[in-house]
Amino acid sequence: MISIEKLTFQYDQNQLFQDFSLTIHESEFLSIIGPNGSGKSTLLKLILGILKPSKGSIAIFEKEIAKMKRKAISRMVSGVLQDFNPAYSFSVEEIVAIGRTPYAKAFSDFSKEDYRYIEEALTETGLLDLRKKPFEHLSSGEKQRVLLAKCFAQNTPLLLLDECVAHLDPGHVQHIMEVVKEKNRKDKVTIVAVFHDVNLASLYSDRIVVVNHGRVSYLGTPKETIHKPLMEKVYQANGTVLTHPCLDVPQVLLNRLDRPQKPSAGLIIHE
Amino acid sequence: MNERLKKRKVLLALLLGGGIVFFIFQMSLGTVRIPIEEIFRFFTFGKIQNPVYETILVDIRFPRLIVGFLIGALLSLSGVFFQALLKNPLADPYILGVSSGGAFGTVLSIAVFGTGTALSRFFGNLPVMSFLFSLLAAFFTYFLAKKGKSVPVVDLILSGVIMNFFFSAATTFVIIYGWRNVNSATFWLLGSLSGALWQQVPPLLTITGVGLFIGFALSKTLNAISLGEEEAKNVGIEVERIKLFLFITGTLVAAYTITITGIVGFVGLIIPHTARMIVGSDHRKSVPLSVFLGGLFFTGCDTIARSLFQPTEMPLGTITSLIGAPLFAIILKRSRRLR
Repeated sequence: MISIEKLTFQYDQNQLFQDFSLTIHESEFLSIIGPNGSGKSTLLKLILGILKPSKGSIAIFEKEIAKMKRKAISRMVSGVLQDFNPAYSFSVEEIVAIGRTPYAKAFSDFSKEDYRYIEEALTETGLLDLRKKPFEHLSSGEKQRVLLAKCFAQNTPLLLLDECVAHLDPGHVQHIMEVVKEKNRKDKVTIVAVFHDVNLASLYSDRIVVVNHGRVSYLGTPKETIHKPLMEKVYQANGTVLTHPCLDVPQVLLNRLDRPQKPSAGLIIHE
Repeated sequence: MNERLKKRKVLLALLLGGGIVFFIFQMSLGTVRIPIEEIFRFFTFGKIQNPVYETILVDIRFPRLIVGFLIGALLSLSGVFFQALLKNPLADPYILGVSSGGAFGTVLSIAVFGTGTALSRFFGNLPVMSFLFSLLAAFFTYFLAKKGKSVPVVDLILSGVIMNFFFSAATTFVIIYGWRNVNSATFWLLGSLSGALWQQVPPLLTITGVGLFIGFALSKTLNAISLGEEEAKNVGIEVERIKLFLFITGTLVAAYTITITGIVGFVGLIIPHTARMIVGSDHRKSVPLSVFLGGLFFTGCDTIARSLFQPTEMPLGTITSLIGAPLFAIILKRSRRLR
């Protein structure tokens, strides 16, 4: 669905990507992980067309994004970005409605179809009861759900998420991740999500790409990518990788450096 | 849905009704108090008993009210554009220094080209100098305040202050050095509608019409832009193009009003803010309400200015600033708390 070819991107003399290539398949859940400052968010902005590649190309359904009009891009890709900070006090409903902008006509009201998408987005994210509330009065978990609903209303085949559950408590994290996964499963929306939580990426992704120093370090299923070398070489962290007791995916536990690092028996440990 | 529509109709009826009553009331007030019956006769094309009243109503008060309404509407619209453009509820042509730039341009135009010459007529009818210096002031304010990619609120206000200081001083300089009619100039600078004439109505009406058209056409775009530039891009807005467009339209609209009334501050700040408090931030509702309330507020302030301080007239800008400055302080305090 998306093919990134030989992407090079420079920002203020810093080379973030060089000859970076990656293919994203239709309706997969792909996570991007990697150390802080490795350019994960930048990659999302490049796919969104907010930033332009210095060299190379990013194509969606074989159309190059740099050559597409903003409106055309916005009907293909939507994104939950960080630092969302509206100038005025908007209600939940009003923010979700802005997701319909790519389809709206200048002078007329939103169409019946637009309103249907807005309703659906509010329902899917569990925001029906909060629809009239001012956005700034919501909790951070609820705010993230509003941003997600705005993207759902935008109805794009590709949805990008930039650490959309960072700093949230486990309840909100699970709620939001389940909503996203459901969208991926039910509507076959392709999800590309940046995580700093390796375990979450492992739990929900079909594939994981590990980005470090502007290159792909590892690419594959969670089992193929979440392993000891990832922790040591990419994150420079000392951890134990084991299989989730209920699910067949790897999970990482951090070790204490001042304590023995020998695991007790009975667990499947990956080296 | 139906209930919402009903509510909107009630609000619309209230506003229109209130506006008309307010208008009639204002026609009767002034240096000469005209009985309400005469106003009704005027509007129903009846015979007005007193010929003096007729002259006052037809030649002075009615054009003054209409010009005032349109100028208030335009200033308010300019405020809406600047606020969306800078993503900041504190932006207004006066605070950004656009008004002082325009005032300087106008004064300079009169000082250089005089009055009554062919050149002056050209520069008077088409307020080129006012446009030019308004744009210049706005550009300077913006670039002085710009830090990397963002424009912090306090920096924006400060650089607006710098522009205001500079252009006020430059205006005074030109008035004293080149024009010397200090009294009339000062009164004009403080903002007044006393020069309102019938012939100002057609161009103002055209500009207001065009402005409203743009406001309606862009209302959904303005909503998206209020969420931030990247967010707006993500929903398909060509942000750079729209920003430039809003910048130029907002400046031109404000500059045009200055050539007629001088500097009347804070209207573009108070009114959009009030409109948002009444109907919420959705520009599809707040733009038309801002335009309407802007007109009412402006004429209201003018009526106070011309009827409460007889035998003299209070400059209009004084009244709007007395109301606007405290409100500005409140919004500033509140927007700090939000961050």
